[in-house]
Amino acid sequence: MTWIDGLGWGLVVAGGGFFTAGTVGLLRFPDTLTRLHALTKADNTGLGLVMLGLAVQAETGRDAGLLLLTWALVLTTAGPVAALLAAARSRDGEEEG
Amino acid sequence: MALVLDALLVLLLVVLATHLMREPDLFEAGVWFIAFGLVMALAWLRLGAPDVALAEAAIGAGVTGALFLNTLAEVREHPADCGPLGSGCSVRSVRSPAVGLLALALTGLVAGVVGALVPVATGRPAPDFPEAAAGNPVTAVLLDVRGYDTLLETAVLLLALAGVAAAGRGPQGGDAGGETAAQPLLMGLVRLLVPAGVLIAGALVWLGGKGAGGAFQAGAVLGGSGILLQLTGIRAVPPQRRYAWVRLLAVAGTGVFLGVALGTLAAGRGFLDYPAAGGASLVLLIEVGAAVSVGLLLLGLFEGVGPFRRSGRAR
Repeated sequence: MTWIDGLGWGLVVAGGGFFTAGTVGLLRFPDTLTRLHALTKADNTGLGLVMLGLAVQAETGRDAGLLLLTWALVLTTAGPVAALLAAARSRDGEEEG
Repeated sequence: MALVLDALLVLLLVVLATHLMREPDLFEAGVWFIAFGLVMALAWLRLGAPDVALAEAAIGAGVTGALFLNTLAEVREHPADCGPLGSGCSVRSVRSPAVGLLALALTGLVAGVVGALVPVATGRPAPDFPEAAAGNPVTAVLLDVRGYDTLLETAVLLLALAGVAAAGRGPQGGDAGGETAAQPLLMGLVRLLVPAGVLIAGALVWLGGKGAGGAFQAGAVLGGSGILLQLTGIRAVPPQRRYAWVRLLAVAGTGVFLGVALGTLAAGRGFLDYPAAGGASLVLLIEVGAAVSVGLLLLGLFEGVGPFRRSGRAR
């Protein structure tokens, strides 16, 4: 197992750790807004680390680029989606009083 | 190692399905359904079917989830349909031993059929259709070997659109997007995603001839982009009830397919018997028509369900 494989595996495991942290935050945080925070930040960082770990082990540069492009696309949608959820939550909160 | 992953996937599917059916709150059940669709797409990938995985992720998890949640918005606005305590709509499970026995019998039947198939299927290479009009065996089967079935499929989709257009709500005003259109983040996201969606749909149709992809997946991406536009209140796709050319485009999938089929018949060949030269181009033409048609169909389904305006029901 070369050092590149080791680096790749280390990054993927670290990404898994971030995903676990995000899930723990989802389960344990008291409020919708804090849970959104945990999901958006921790999960997307975890995804980035996993993609980086896979890209390091990828066979061609094109595959590595595609993996990182996927991460960029997920990041692009995750931010506005979290903002929309938070806005919907605050709107529902105001209606329910 | 792969077996552990597959076993975990199957377990996850069963757990998700159980939660989905036992969940009394319909909104949460809708969310469970979307998660189930995503895991199902993973299962299709593990089974070596990337085309089906793409279709499941796009249609099963994406568009159908949006349709469910949109329909739920209407259900919530009619409290007479909800439980008597007003605690939200509850799904009453059918607790009858006959239903349980029927489910068991069905599972046993499916298991028996699959068990009888497996010894034949393993060890064979993927089917290759050298005379077919497409390189991808899935596309070859869909549009060449069993092209007639796919033609009838597009006609069934057209019937669904006609039913929803007749019985669903009419085109709503721009009020659905009044609040969301003002959000700059959503508008920025839509400006990025919708052109990318159109590009991805075109790529899916083009690549479907040789790799994973195809007309239905592209149509689902197009439909999803249209739904995204609809949610922001941007009238990029005019309502189908008012503009005839939109309806014509929706019919285009079946129309082009039928036209090509009658054309080959008129040219002296059989029904849907593509010529050796130019067969791939005909398949591509049919796929483009089908993709546009499926996209408009999904958008029409989304427009047709959902909350009626409080001023009155649709005509």
